[in-house]
Amino acid sequence: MSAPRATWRPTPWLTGGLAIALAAGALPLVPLAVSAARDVPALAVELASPRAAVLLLHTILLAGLVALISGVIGTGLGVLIGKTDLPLRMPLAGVLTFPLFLPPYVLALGWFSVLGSDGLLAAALGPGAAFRFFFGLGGAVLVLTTAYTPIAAHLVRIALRSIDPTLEEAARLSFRWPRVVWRIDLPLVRPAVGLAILLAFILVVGELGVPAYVRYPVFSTEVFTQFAAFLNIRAAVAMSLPLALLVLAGLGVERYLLRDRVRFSSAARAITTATIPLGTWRAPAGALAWAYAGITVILPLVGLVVRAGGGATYAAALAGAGASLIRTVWMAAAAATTMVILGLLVGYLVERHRRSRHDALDTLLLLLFAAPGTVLGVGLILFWNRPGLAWVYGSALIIVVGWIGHFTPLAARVAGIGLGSLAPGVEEAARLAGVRWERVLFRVLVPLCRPALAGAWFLAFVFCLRDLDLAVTIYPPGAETLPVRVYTLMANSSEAVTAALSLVMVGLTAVVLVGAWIGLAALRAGSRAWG
Amino acid sequence: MGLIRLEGVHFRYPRAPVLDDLSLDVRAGAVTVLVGASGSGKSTVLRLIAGFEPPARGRVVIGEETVSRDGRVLIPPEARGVSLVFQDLALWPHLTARETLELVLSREVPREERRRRTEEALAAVGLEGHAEARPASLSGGERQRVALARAIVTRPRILLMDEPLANLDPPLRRALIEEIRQLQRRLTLTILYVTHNHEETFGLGDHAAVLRAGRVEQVGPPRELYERPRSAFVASFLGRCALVPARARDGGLESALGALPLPRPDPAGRSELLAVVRPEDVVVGDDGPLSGKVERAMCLGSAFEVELAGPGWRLWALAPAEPVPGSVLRFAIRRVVTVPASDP
Repeated sequence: MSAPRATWRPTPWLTGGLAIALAAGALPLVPLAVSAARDVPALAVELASPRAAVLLLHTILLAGLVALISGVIGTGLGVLIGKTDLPLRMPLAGVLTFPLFLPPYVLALGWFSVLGSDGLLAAALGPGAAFRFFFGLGGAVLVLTTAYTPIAAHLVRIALRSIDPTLEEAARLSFRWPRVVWRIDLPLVRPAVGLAILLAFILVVGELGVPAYVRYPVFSTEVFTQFAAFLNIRAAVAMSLPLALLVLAGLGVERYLLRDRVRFSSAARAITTATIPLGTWRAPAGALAWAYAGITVILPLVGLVVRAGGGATYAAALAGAGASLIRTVWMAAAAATTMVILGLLVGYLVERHRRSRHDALDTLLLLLFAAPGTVLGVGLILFWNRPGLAWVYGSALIIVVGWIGHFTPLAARVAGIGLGSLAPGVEEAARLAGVRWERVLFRVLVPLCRPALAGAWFLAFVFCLRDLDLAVTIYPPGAETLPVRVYTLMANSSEAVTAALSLVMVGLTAVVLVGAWIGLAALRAGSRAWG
Repeated sequence: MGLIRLEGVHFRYPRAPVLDDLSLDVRAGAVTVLVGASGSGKSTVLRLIAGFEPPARGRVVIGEETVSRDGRVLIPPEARGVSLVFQDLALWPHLTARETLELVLSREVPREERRRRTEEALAAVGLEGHAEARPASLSGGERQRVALARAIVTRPRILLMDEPLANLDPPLRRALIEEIRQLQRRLTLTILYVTHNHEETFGLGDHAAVLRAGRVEQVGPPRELYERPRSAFVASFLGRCALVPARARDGGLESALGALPLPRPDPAGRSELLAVVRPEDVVVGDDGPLSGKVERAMCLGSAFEVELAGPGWRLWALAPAEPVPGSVLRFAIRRVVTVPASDP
């Protein structure tokens, strides 16, 4: 009997996908490291300067405060939304989440139109009511806390829904709900809270737009300033190093303290979790939560609307946006589509690989996602700015490549969750029957993971849409994205036009999110029909 | 009157009714075993008694107090004096055995008393050496004991147990059945124990209630249910048996097997019956008056369970040696009981 022909050959596909993802994201970091290694004494001088110490203090202070405050507020909101019968809690979750999908500096503009010297508050209560500390640490903490609180709220909400209901029931036989939450639920969701705090810390460390707007110097603003304003590559590289180290430290905490401790179960199980009746506290708690959402999310947007004024401003804003609006949409769509394909292959590799390699690859991917956009941007320019590569470096393609490198790990993670939820048997049965791996991928895995893949696409799309840090560092003339356009208009256009264009951006994001919500609901309904 | 009473209880989950006019009395100081097929509503009965759900209609009474009624939980779970050992144990992964027990003791219990009772409960289940262990570092049997200790440390009026031994290997299950039995006697606990395992039903139960499609089909001591089932469902649920159609006539039974002794007249005077023939009541031997063809034989270890068939009947017998399939075996029927041919 002749040996059967091997049909299970995923390796070329998987390594190909991984190679492209790493080429886009990790290769640009190589010239950055080489450049740093070649000039160690000069970099040491830069890093030992008093200026670097101040930047380090500012960066850690800002990231630490935002991470802690958003962790505390987000945990409270997560418990209220995830466990209680708070009125209209799912719409509340939607409202609170919205800022996460906007470029944080748009929120800063909104807050300024409320708290600034000629903002809503000053108009209502007099000039003395303006928030004097908006420009500085106070404003940065306020804006970024608003932006990143949803991370903790959602991670806690999902983690609470993943708790085995019998763990709570066992406690409910002995004591009341508040003690059940305090002694059972909160300790069990502690890893999720830790992860949320860490994610917020890493994201704030790399944040450029808000610190730049409120004039609070941190490492990322310094990298951008040295690179874009002074064309001082050496200083930019030097200031990138502490940023990269801070992100690495954060990742180290994630890998060694939180690894394997954050577990989210499937939605099927979550249906059975008990809801805490708030009783007489329902109305006050609902009012408080909605007041928080109103003040932190709706009020800044109202501030922008007021500042933008009438329709003429919007017309001027759209004229000012030029082609950047359409360009941003197609660039983000192209990048997101590529990311989902690569993310599926890389997610498969991570999900199905042996433990040790899985960890190394997962850490590398997480590093690419966590790398500050400004740092990745400097690396991309050092890598692609070469003779013969102007078709990449001098076009919108450089931004698309950057996004693919930066955000593919996110798509891979979401695709991996979808793949991980499938029983290994669905593949093994096809393999035993001699079906080729590619066919199994397209006929079995992709259809079964449709909701996860669609979710990955929308997430990747929105992250591209909101990106400022990477795009503003690398955009070539004539290829600026909408966030970059808004950011540059802030310096040389009226506040009304900037506010109007920010609202265009808010509207675009809202349309995408509503589309995603409807699309995902339809896909999930389709999947449920399979039983 | 029972310590727990469910009166005319109805309950449904969104897609299906679970309990349908169920009434049940659970006696104080005894073990009542609730048996029934998957989906018959056994665990739901425990959840109603614990107070996690209210009955849609009907009421649940503990002692003299109505604790739930017509869609409302009147007394919350924590005030009912009830403990529950969950099927998956529901041990809190972040707490040690000692912390688990101290947590469930009310804060009103003084610290010293809490410590003493924790030690007592750990000792009662033989876990003195594992007080500082978390669930992840305990074996299956030890976790079971922690769950049991958590349930008894509060000195509950009622202990509910939801298939707590379902995931254990047979020797450990047997050992724990004996331990639970001893613990119940020592503490005079009232236990309502859900299972579909025969060993637990007969080894633990002072009483058993057989549930079928959300109703109690029969209640009584397990042995009585086994020997005098009121329906074909109860007869076949509590052990392997053949149900042979039979007609009562002139103080005896006419069946496809021939004439069989009628143990007692049908209380409702029905003549169309089913003769329940259990394997242990079929005596295989060359001098038996009946014969049947061997369809198949399955080794049970100590004996072979043989499926025999003849015209219009099929039954199981226990044989000391493995018969050849297709051969003819002679046998006698020592005893039968009858149940109505159709559901009452």
